[in-house]
Amino acid sequence: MAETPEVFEGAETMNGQAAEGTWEPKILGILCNWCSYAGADLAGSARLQHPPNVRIVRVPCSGRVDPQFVLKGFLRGFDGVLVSGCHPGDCHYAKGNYYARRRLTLLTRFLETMGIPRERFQFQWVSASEGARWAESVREMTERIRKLGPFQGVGRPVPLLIPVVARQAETQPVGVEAQ
Amino acid sequence: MNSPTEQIRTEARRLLESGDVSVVIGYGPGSTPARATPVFVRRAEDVDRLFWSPACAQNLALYVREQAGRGKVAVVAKGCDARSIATLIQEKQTRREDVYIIGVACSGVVDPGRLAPAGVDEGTLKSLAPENGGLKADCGDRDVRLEREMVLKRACLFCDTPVPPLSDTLIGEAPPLQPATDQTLPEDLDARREFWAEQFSKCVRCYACRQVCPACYCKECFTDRLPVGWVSKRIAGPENWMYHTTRAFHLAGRCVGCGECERVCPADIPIQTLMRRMAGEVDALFGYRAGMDPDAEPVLATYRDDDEGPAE
Repeated sequence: MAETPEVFEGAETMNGQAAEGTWEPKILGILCNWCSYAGADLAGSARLQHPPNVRIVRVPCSGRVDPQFVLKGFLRGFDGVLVSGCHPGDCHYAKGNYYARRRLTLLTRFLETMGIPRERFQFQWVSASEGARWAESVREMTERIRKLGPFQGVGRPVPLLIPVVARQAETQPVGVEAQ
Repeated sequence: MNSPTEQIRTEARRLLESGDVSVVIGYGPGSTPARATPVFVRRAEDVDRLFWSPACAQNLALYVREQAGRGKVAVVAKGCDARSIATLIQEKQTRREDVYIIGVACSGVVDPGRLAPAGVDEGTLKSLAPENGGLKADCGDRDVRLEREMVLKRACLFCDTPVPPLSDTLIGEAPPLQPATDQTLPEDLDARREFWAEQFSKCVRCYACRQVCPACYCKECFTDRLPVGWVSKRIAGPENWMYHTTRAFHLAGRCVGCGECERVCPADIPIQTLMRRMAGEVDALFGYRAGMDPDAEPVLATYRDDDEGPAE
């Protein structure tokens, strides 16, 4: 990845703001193109009021959602992750959401093993006609995350030694001692 | 009755002499009585290189894939190893008819790294043999009784398949053992997050866990992909967290819990605590255990209409 997409940059900035008391939940939304993305679009066209806290990434199908996407969201400091796809039986590709259901239900439980409360991850079905359902789920999730507070992040902070060594390697020709 | 070593040699000789298999993959004595080394026997006159002892820790399923397409191979397999082979068959990495499994009922194998903390100097160790549910170590000047909990590969203490569920011949009998319950992980979620942060901060990203794993056979691992993007190679807490959680998910429903990853880890990270939890969740959700049935569909490569999921 040559540069960090804006959607991730935003999350890191938001963590910075937490200290200043202006914290707003930042939620990563991964939506299937055929149902939930259209549903979210419908919520917009219908002027259904809902919080702007979800940053949407569009994917072809909920079956495209690698659990890594969700883990990466938490790694980069999102406070919650929302995955939304077609109802069972409605998948544009017939069965992508069935595979997603297995994977993501397992992920929900696995997150708790990692110490991430399952309230921070939501997996749901929203069809193209369910604009109101989308708006409601965003309202509900945003409020839930607001109560939970900022996500504390994963892993320990970076040990200083590693980046310093890496930086030296970049600026010093190989085999030449630093002055 | 003959010792397991004798039985393995007899079986290997029969298989090689009849030409049924081109190679027998088994264990040979290692550098100390607490270590074994994988050996590849291709001629009947070499079967005496094979042996069996509580030191036979490696999961030899690791070598089955690289022999695929070179004719039938025989493998000496403990319960966990046989389950690994079944997983490989399920995932079409080898064929059932290409593997002859010399199953050995196993009562747990030794992790040499745990000998020193148990008060045994591996350098002067003369022999290591099973004795009344534990082990007897001959240290030259004295005999030391070792309990299983002290010196076995940690995963062995949680083992519930000491007898291979899949084998062509079976050596030994099921040991009367009760699997322990893993209580490493704290109950509180914040404490868990902190626990893993602490554990993964020790990781040096040597990838020994991946190299030793029979299920980690991707030609290109997600973590080796260039350009560096999804998972950074930086050796730091969050990136290590990403590596281990992703690996755990890639092994969901595939890890058989042999515990080799944990045994070879130079940083002593309790990887199997993570994997056992994952396996437990898979069993609870889908009633599936890795490598118990070579004909089963891999659990995440299939679905059922009535799987648990979000409300419709």
